[in-house]
Amino acid sequence: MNIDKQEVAVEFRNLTKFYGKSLGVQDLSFAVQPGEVFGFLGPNGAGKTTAMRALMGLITPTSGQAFVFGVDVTNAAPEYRADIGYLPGVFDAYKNMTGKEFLDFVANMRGVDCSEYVADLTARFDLDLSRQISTLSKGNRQKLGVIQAFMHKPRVLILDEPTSGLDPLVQHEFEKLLAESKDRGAAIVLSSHVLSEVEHLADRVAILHKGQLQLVEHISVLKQQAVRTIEVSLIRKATESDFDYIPGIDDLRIFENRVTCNLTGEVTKFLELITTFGVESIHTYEPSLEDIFLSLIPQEGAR
Amino acid sequence: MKTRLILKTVKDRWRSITLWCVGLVALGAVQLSVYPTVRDAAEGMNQFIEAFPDAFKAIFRMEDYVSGPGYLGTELFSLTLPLIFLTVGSSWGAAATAEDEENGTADLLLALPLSRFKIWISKNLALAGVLVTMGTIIYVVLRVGSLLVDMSIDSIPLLAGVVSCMFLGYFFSSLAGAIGAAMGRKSAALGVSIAVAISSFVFYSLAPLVDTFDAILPFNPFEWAIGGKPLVNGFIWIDLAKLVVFSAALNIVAVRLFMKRDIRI
Repeated sequence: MNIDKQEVAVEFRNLTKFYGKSLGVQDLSFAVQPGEVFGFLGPNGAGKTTAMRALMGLITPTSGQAFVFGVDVTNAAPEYRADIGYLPGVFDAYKNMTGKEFLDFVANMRGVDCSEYVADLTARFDLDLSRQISTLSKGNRQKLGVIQAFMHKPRVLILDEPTSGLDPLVQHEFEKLLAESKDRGAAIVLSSHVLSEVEHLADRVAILHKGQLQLVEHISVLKQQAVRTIEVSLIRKATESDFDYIPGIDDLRIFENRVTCNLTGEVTKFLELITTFGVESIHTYEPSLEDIFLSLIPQEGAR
Repeated sequence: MKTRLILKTVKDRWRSITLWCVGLVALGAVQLSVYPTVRDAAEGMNQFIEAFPDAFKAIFRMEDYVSGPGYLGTELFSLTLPLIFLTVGSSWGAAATAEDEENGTADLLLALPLSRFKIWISKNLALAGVLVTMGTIIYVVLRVGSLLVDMSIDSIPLLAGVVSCMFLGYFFSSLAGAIGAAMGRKSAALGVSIAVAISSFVFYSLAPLVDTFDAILPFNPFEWAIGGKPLVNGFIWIDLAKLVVFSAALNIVAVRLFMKRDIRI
């Protein structure tokens, strides 16, 4: 991999933020490439919002830096934000404006004209822009927040809990929009405390807990490392000793023709073996990020 | 500065600005309509005022009530107009940045590719525009009205009086703005600013009677605005300069605080 050619869109370098004595985030480091969707995970209060707001220049880091395309955001000229679409965790718009007035205002302040794309997005999200924002439901306000973040086709998207308040149909549309943005090379950081929603959106994830980074990993790797439960019904009976040489097998149980076990990593050897007995049915239970997540976070009072 | 933000700031307060302006017109008209009666009864009025306790006359700086400048000075420029301008100024200053933080819109506004300095300047210009508009209205009402009721007051001293009130309003908006920028809380900014205004006014009013208050008079914004009797003496540049310099200083403090501050969610 040629490091020189690979431009980094967003980077945190040992970012630390204390609010007085209470910790927001500590020693956070990771980088996001263009065209990458980066999931930022952790329970509420883990420090996700702190990191994102530091990147937007809304708060000043206690130490460390945040970069957008190589620009250290602390003391940077505000123009670095021109290429960022930001959706705050709690999105509040000017309630006395209509949706159209609001989007016009934001576009004007950004010095861009994106009326065409706004019309497209508005149609896709089925949002009535003529209504005053104070009369919009939470879900519709969130749609407006999503539109204002995407409307200028920024190269960086910072989305703090973007799907909160969106119903499943709209979430699906949002996922399509995210995929399109990824395809045109945008670097996307999105946070969530609902892990399942990031699972199929993100390329990589960072897990944050109490301000500390627990890990940064590719989703595929995470899943590979994870233990999956497999349940098969065989045509001919097998015995426990048949499974002795299967790597990563654990918790094997055989009852009549039914075999259940936990398997870590690759399943090829296991499948080869069971086909020799004839397979009637097979069920595997994909590990959710939830499980991975819970195994990583030190449990309160566990020791 | 950002024109759209200036217009938005004004538009957000459109209703209250309109009410203040209508109020100013009504106030000016009512005060002037009574003036012919006061003037016609000049002799009796002077005797009547002569009989007021000296302390009372001193507090309202009532040396002469029936002349044009004396009448307007007592009725409008010693309390009512300064109070109106400083109220408008304080509430705007308090809201300038704190409002966005309290409404939760700061994360959106300050994440735009726009410096906090520009945002500050834009909001300041919006306020300046409103103060000038209000000043123009009261000036025109009093100028035209004084001609109609045949009140003798020169245009320059009248202008000086109005301008002083405008700068007093701007001073208190800067004070409220600095507190709001430091704390991000509108109510705190407004409260402190109004408290300072009221105590300044009390110190100013009682200065002729209380030596301590008299001693601190050179540091009193009311003294800078109306102490030199602009309605009689015209522009007192040194006093206006004090208002401008202190307003500027407060604004510099405010901007510096605002630029560095962690924005609350």
